[in-house]
Amino acid sequence: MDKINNHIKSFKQSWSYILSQPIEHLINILVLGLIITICGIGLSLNNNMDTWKANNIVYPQMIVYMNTQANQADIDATQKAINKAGAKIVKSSQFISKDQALAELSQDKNMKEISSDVISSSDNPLPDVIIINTSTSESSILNKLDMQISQIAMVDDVQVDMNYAGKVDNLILFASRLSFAIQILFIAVLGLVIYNMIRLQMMLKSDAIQVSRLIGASDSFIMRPLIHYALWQVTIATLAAYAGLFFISNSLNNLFASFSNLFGNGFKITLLPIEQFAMMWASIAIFTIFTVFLAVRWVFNNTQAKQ
Amino acid sequence: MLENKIIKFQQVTKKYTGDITAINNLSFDIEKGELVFLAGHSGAGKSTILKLIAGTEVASSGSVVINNIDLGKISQNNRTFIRQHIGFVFQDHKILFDRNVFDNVRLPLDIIGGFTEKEIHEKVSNALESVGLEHKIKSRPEQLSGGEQQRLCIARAVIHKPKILIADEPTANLDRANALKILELFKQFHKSGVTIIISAHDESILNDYGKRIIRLSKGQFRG
Ligand SMILES: Nc1ncnc2c1ncn2[C@@H]1O[C@H](COP(=O)(O)OP(=O)(O)OP(=O)(O)O)[C@@H](O)[C@H]1O
Ligand SMILES: [Mg+2]
Repeated sequence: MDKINNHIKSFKQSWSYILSQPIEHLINILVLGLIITICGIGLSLNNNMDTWKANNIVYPQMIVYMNTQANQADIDATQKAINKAGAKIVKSSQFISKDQALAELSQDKNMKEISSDVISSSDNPLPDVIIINTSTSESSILNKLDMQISQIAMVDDVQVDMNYAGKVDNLILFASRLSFAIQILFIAVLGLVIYNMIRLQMMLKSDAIQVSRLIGASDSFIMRPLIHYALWQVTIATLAAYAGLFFISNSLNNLFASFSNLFGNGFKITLLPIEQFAMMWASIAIFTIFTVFLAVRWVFNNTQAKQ
Repeated sequence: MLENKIIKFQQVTKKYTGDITAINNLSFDIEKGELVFLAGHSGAGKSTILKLIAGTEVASSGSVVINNIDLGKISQNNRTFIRQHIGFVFQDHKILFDRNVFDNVRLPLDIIGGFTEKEIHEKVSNALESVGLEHKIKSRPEQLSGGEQQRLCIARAVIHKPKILIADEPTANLDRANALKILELFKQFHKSGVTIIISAHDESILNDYGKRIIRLSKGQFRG
């Protein structure tokens, strides 16, 4: 009961102290918030890379161009061969008829001028196309599929960018390593900022700490208010960081949406889910308490206050 | 009557860094409820003895035993904890100027913990009343005279009713009249059974009290 009362007291004290000097503490909170935002961006980046991967960005697309003379039976045969490959190789496929392609082309204003003679010609010169979304980046398997489909009558050409998969995979691996490194770096920075905050507080209150010590104050008596002081600022900063992340991901998604024909629809940032965010707060809180503990010990060992 | 000795110094030597011997092989006892003066010139080792009793310094050799606890044999945390039962009037006051008189005096209660705000108010009022400072409860410490600041320190040292009260030169910067008033205060506390040790470099003021005087010179007994 006493312990709870002590914490309630420290809680009240730290809040009234933070609110009594809002500008000074706003600076603290902004710096903390910025660092936590960067950690949050790292985390959501990792999350999103998984989703992007799942959204088939990693595996190459195969484009099958039918001969312009191909009829429905040929297309059916090709489609059948593709389906036979199984879900492990082919995730999905999409048939785009030459009529459809022409219609889409004629709707594009810019393309209209370039392709005016194509469109004006009564005979549609575009081929039927099947786009295969593969579900593997194994080049031997993809090569085999390429061979199989190429052999089908009335298939003119099969295009697949073998290196694409590797490139994207490497890029994602690099990005996730980078974001991990950035997170580690900024957690270290967070620790240093908290440490410095506490050191400053202890310097400001060194008289009170020294006298309390002489009167018989335990470590926890001195540490408790400092823990609350750091914890609530970090908590405000984490909430601010979440608001910041929400804002950033929203504006980026709007941006991506307006470029969707460039990136495709798979490109979308999902915000950290609330549970993951709560986990992040909890980890940062534990980290903060630990850092305050270390900072206080360090200051004790390097000043008179250790008695 | 071993249990009557609340403070025991057994061949205590205290050396500070730089090979300064502040206390040299001192042995003495203080009985429960005794009022003892510690006299000696500047640098004689008075503060050092009081700090050894409070456990803020540790003997280099020999043992300091408080209430049958050898302070040299327990952890620093426990020494700190034992201080909660000791009242200390510091030579340099150690008043906190970032808070008012009330908040200065309540500090030991906050450290000990477990008091309601109402109890704290009551105890602070009583302590300030016992030193004649109740009308200054809301003042800032810098608004107090030297004698009033000294009394504030005494109020803070006695608020939690410690078993041992240590006062390091409580009369040092006061004129004779005020110094006598302060000593009178300690006599009052002594009547309630507290063991009190008071240091002073000016012996003349002590002689009228008919109490035991431990005289020091260069870390050793004198006369
Ligand atoms: N922390 C310390 N480090 C080194 N030497 C110290 C320390 N504290 C005290 N001394 C030395 O120990 C000796 C005794 O000091 P102490 O403070 O006990 O004297 P005192 O009798 O209280 O003097 P005063 O009347 O001036 O307060 C002095 O020579 C002093 O310089
Ligand atoms: Mg002294």
